[in-house]
Amino acid sequence: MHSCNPIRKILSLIALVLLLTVTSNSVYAGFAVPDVAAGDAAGIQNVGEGKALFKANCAACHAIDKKVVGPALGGIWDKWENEAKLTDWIHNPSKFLESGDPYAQVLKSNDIESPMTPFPQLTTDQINDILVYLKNPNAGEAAAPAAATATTAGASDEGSSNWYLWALIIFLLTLAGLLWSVTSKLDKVVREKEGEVVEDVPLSKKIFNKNTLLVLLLIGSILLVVNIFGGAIDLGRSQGYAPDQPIRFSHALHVGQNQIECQYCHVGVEKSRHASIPGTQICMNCHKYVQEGPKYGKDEIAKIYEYSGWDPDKSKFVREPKNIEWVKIHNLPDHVYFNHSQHVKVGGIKCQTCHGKVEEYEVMKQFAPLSMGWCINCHRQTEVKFAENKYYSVFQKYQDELKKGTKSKITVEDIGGTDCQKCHY
Amino acid sequence: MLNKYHIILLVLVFGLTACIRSEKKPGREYMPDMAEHIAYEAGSPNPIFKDGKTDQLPPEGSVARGKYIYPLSDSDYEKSATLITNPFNFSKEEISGEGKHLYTINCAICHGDKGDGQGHLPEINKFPPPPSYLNEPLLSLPDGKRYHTVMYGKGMMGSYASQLDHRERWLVLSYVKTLQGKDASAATTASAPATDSTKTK
Repeated sequence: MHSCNPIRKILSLIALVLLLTVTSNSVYAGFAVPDVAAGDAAGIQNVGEGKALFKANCAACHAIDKKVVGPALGGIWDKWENEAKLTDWIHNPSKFLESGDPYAQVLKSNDIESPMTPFPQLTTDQINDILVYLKNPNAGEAAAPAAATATTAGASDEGSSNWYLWALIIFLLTLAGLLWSVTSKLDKVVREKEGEVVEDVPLSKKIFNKNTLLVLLLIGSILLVVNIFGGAIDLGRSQGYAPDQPIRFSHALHVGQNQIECQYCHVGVEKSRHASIPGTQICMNCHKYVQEGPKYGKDEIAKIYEYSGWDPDKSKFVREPKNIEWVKIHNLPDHVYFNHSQHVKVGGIKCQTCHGKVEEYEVMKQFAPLSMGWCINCHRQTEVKFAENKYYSVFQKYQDELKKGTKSKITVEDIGGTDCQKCHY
Repeated sequence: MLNKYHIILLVLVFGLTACIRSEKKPGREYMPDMAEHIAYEAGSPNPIFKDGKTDQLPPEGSVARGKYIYPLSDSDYEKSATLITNPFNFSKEEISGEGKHLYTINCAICHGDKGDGQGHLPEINKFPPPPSYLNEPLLSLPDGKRYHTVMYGKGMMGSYASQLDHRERWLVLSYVKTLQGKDASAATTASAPATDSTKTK
């Protein structure tokens, strides 16, 4: 008898564990959430209220159709035994976890990183409205998806226009060649009819006679001179340089459409010499949630996940982050000093003054020539914020002149902005 | 033998390269002696360090002079309510100037200019709307929990520890208080502890 007891205990324990795992994996019968038909005005109103409540309370962690911070909430009604238990969970998650309810075990085993925030203020009616919205997220807004597809279609056919132009040029050239050969043949037939003896000169000799060769030689030498001397005069400056980057990041989308401030990502621009290229953790502020872009779909965003070590299925960082080797576009020579914070923070110069309309760039490029003449020119013309910035109060002579009216404005040049050692040292 | 046709062809081909100016290439450099950087520049690759980067973190355990070390870890959200308070006394001008500027750059894109959670990204349905600052529970959220959220993020919000430094975080939080109709400038915070100031209104 005594020897039997431990075995029985173990067996019953195993049975209990089995029972628990079975219940935890088996899906509850769930509870019903009503469908809302297109004409159902009361239902649509419930959906509207549920949507507002969802956005205000749940959307910070949950989405309907995908796991973000918390699990996807669509179909939640199939997972819970009844609405009362779900309500208990929403009102006080930690209490529900301790309640010993079988579903609490499931939730515990889900390895939750950040616990669910309690929402005791939500009434059962409000929770019901949210559930109705989750079941019928699109009720009462049939027109919206059509508009969305129209905008994405418009955005995608941008790159093909160049190819189209070249095809047109080739087509026109062939057409011109064909017409020319037809007319010359007709011309020959007409002349032969009139009794003229026409020599059959081959086409190649017609084109490559002495004169055309001389013209070609001239054109070639001019281009050669332009090539060599033009390159030399450029001194390695590269206006318009737009290299391929490891990720096809679009400023037009992020700055233009989404209106994210430049300084959101280029954090250093007001504090340091460098505008700084954002690390992946700044990308991930938004891209933990945004997993698909309008132009390249999931391809380019998957690269961020690859670099940052993020696993979108597990919503976790699973690897060490890797370096993104962005190609530097704006390269100043070693003998030039430039400081972003001096220009942006102190001078109040807009980013677009030197970088162009970045909010329209699909591919980032060098807008300014970055030549010394370009720098100096701006220093000669740009007015210093003399009155607003207390630092300039020590420039007694200029302050007096401004007061007297003998000088109407102080430029960067006036305070030494064209001295050699300002930028070269 | 090189005849005149070959010469013409060569000149033409080399000359035509002047027309080929690819945007993907930076262009030619003839005398790069003083233009190319000898020292490793910030952000450039570096063969000396193991991870291949010039930008290195300070050695483990070292603290830069004046740098604030946040004493709590990610999971200490509840503790932050009582442990973390605003050490700064900002003037009204600082809050409405620099504080607003930083809020506009870092927060307004989602939280909205008024703090109602209706920023541009939620408006165009690209990002879920954050809870409004103007309603409970955020209206009376303790300062410490606010700071903790900026440090580590919460829910859908990421960490802003790398974008804002210690002073800037409190500046932004002070501006958020003015959005909530509370005065967070030096005059009021000096008389009452920061955690209580949320409850007085």
